[in-house]
Amino acid sequence: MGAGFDGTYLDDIDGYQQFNLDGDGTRPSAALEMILFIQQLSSWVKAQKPDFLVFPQNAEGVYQDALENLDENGDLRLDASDPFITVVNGVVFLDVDDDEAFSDGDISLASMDTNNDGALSGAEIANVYFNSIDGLGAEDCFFKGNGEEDNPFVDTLGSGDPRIIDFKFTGDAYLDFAAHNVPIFNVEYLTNENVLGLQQYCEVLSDQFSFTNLEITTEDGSPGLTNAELRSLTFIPFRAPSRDLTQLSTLSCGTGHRLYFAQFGNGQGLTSEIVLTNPSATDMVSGEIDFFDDEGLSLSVGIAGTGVTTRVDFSVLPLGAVTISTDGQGEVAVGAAVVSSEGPLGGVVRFSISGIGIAGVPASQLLSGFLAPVRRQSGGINTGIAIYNAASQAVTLNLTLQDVQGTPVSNGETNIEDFPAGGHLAQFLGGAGEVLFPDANTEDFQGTLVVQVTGGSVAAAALELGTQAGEFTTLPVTPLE
Amino acid sequence: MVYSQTRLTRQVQALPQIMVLLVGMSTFFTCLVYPAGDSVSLSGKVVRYWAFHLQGADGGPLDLIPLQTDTQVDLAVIDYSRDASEQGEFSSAEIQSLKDTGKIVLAYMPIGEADAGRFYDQNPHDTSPFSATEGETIVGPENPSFPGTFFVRFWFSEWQSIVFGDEPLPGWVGTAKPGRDHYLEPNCGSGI
Repeated sequence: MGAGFDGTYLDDIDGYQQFNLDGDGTRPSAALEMILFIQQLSSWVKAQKPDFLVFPQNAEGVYQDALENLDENGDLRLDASDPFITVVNGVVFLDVDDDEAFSDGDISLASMDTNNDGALSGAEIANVYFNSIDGLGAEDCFFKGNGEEDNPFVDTLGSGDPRIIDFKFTGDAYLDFAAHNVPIFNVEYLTNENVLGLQQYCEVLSDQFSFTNLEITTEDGSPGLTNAELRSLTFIPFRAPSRDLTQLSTLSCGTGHRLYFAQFGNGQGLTSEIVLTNPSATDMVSGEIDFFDDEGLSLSVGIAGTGVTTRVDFSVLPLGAVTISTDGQGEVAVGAAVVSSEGPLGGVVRFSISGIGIAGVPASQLLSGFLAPVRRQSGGINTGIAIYNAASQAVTLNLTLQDVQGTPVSNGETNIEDFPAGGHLAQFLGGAGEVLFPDANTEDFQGTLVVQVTGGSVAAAALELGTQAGEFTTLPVTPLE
Repeated sequence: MVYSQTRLTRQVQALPQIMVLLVGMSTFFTCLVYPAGDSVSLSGKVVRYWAFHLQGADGGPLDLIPLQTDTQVDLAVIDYSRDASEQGEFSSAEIQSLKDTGKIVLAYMPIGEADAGRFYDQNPHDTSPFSATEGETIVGPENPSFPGTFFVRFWFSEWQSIVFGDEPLPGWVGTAKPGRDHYLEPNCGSGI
């Protein structure tokens, strides 16, 4: 009958706040009793299955409340001098009816009095709690507010915002969890459209992150969380698009930072050079470039000086640059390149096509909508658009063609539904073959392309190409306002 | 136009080589996964990313297939029942199939609140998790953020015996499964 789970995730721990002095006051000892409940549950289940995992969720300060709610004289211990505590023959009891005597219904706290001194110290209470659990589920660590989703990043909150104080106290508790080797399983509720929030989440998880809001990291008489302390914490991340927890989602952050080059190619005189620059004056940045083919599988590329490989490791010196170049040999192979690095980098891919010329395409930023100038001349110049779905789920693309006055062009609209996670699309505006707008008149056209993305974010690039030498240039891709 | 109509279409023979670069790249590009954050070792497995997944799409029954096919998640927290009801509880075979993908699987279990419709609910058709008179004193106010969920006086021995322990369930607790003991029993009963 048992389903064989590896552990249990205990929710609504903070329900004690409904009954203690923060709530209706009917059970001042509620926090202490929650810890006792979890201790007994954990002991019971681990006695039967020692590796069974017990994770509470939230209520980061329950061990602090357990002490403070009953420690009336402020001596940082619970003993017979405090209300609701009685000691009988050296055994600490919760004096539920507060009659200062042992009576039916009073609860033994002997399991928490680990040094048997007839009192519970704050450290004893905390140790009982931390020794009973294997991880902490923590919602809304970094994005604070009353919204169900897409609350603001704590680092962006204004001076005096009470959510900063909340974050600092929570962060201070996290340090206690870390001191007891309890990892934090963090969930943030960020929708697919919240490109900035997703970037901020990736950044705060990075070992290189530093708060820009000094109000967070200054001590100033209240608990704080320094940048070094933040980095010392163990955060296992999860990003949910909805607080209803109806969807799975992945988190694509890179090993800290990522650059997307949707266009990449090599062979028959075509070469691609990826140039990476390190803006740090002090830190070397290392990482790797992975190449992928049309199907998203590893793509073997001939790299000058290295040979055929699917991945190139690199390091960039402070304020330095590196160039990784293909060898131009063999059949034409096209795909994409993704740079993952430990620190921020600048990047461009430089295409060189024999007889045509050279054009550089900067690394694409993530966009929920963009505009690019486009033009086409029959038999000559044409504009190609490349779109890479950087989201972890399918998105919908709406592409519309406008003339230079911004007026929609007849038959100049295309909807691409279920554009898959990691999907890539590269097509010309018009002309022969598969094109974006086969039914629009683009014989001699100049205007703009607007792409709206629903359900995620994409990277994009635009290139203008011709058949004559020099007819090869990069076009700007501008985020929509 | 849908994406599948353009995928992997190659009509490049008549085009100059330069256009191969773009036209030949109608591409399906699988998801790249490089999660930031840290890692931890639990139960002998490295955990870098987790998932918290309680319901199916639009609040429907929880479907384990997306989790089974997911390659990023190392630890998954799911409701132990596909629809929170006793009848909807996942079987050990279903959980094992999820574990067979290498994931650590934890059962979601609220212990500070009681939900209407859970196995301990005598009458899933009313709004209270405890319809029997004996349960009335356990239940506190309804959580305004989650209708059907009530704060519970968790220190009551009756509630704690519903959650775990060696004592049988109180007789007034409603459950359709004969011999059932408590909440944690379906969660850890197998293999202990």
